Amino acid sequence: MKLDMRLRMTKLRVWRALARGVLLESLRRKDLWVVAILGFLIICAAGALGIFGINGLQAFAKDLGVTVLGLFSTIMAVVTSCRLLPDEIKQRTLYPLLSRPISRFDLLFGKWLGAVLVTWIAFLLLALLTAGALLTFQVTFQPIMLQYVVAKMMGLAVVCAVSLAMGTYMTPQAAATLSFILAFGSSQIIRGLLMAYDASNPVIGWVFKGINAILPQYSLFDLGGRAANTGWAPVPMWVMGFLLAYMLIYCLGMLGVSWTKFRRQAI
Amino acid sequence: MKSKGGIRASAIFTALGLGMIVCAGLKVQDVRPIVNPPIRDENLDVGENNASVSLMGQFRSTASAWLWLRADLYLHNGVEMRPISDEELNRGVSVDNARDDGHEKLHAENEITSVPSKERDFRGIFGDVERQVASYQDMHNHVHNDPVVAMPLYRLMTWLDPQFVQGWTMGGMILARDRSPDGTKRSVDFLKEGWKANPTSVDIPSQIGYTIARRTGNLDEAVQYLEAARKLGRKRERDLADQEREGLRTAYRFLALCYRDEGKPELEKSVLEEGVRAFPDDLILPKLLSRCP
Repeated sequence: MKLDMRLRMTKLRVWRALARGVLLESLRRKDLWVVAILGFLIICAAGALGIFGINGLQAFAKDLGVTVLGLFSTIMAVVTSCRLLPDEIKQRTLYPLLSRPISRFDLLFGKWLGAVLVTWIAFLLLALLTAGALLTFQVTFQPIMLQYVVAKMMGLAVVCAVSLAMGTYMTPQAAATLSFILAFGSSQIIRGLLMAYDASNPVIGWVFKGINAILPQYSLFDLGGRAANTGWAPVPMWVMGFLLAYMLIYCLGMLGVSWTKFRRQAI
Repeated sequence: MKSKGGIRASAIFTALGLGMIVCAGLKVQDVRPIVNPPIRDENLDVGENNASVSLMGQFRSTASAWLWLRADLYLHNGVEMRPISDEELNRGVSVDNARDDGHEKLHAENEITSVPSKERDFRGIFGDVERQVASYQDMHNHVHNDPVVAMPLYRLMTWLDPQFVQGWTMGGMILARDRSPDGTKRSVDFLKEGWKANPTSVDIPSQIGYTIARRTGNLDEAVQYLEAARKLGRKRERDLADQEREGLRTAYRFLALCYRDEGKPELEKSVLEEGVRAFPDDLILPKLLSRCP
């Protein structure tokens, strides 16, 4: 019992150390400068909006805010996660890590945790900047905005897991390209499947169902449409619970996919 | 000697290559009217006349098109709609039509929700969750938000893209919903600003004339604008797109009515005859002509 507890503590310490490493590396690479520049762009855009007068543009301003937030935070998530492993391998910094008593899964998990942490920090910083800019124009927020932030953070964790998995199978550039296509295109692909489903034969219908099940359902984590417009009630708690469960399952699945490749990879 | 010859040959090939590129470039200019036909001011597809090939022009058109779509989104309180396909219509999918709330003419209504209803969705729980998290609701017999919420966007899109005629006419229509003299003035002023930016537009002067005739009853002033629309319409008869043709049709109708109310039957008759020739499929113009003394 004690041994089990100690093992768990050790694992937690390992994951924490690895995540901290990713965060420090991100700071060293000045990734957060990108966030600062993007934040500056948000402030500039808000200033431009102010020229026209915000009266009547509240919904538009909020809509713009959530769109920009979604876009920038997704870019951060993909860029941070895709290069984690290829960079470690290329710079040979993986050897000292693997010489320690940690499993390759622990390494993957810790890296993913770090990427999620960096992305969440960037997202929250950008969210604060956007909220500040919107509050200047007396734009009001409804409780659903809180759910938007939580759901978006869960969605970003999925983006990190998918990008990390891509990074184990291909070059960082290819992984980033594919991750961006999935992040910005999966909802359109799903819409296309929905439109084509009724006109397809049963076999193709099952193929569509399969594709839909495999594709990451990023659009489910985006409550921006509700948050930007008025009069939408918060979503039921079972939905938030479902999103949490889906996030955990999908992230674990993606980590499993990464591990399948990484555990046999000759380094 | 060999290298000299080599250099000479490569120089010749380079010159030939450059010549071919120049020829192709010149030829492209001839092809342009075919692949990129003269721009229709009132449509979103291409952008503006003067800057259609410039990056700025493309950006402005794209931005105004995006704002146009956002305005449509706010009219539906965030519920994303899309045009229904012919195949869906044939399969019996019903259009999410609008209730007669006075705003239904502001946009095309042959639409359904982008997020499908439960009956149209094969995704099971994923579909259920999306209908909960997206701004989705059953849009059969739906109502619209007050279009005034979208007015700042029309202002913004016409500022970004002054050649976007539809933005001007829709903005003018929204302002005219305020039936007070002040509302009418603001609508007419807005449209006049649009006409200044688009002096060849038929739809804008037609709408100015129509608004003045309906709201102020100043027929003399209305006739000036409607006649201008008629004249421009005749001049641009061949390159008028749908929206502009509708503007011309409205101009014929209201011009005839103005002349009728002013007691000028000859002018009324000539306008109606011309209108029937231009719009042989119109149902109202022949009726008006048959009643003409």
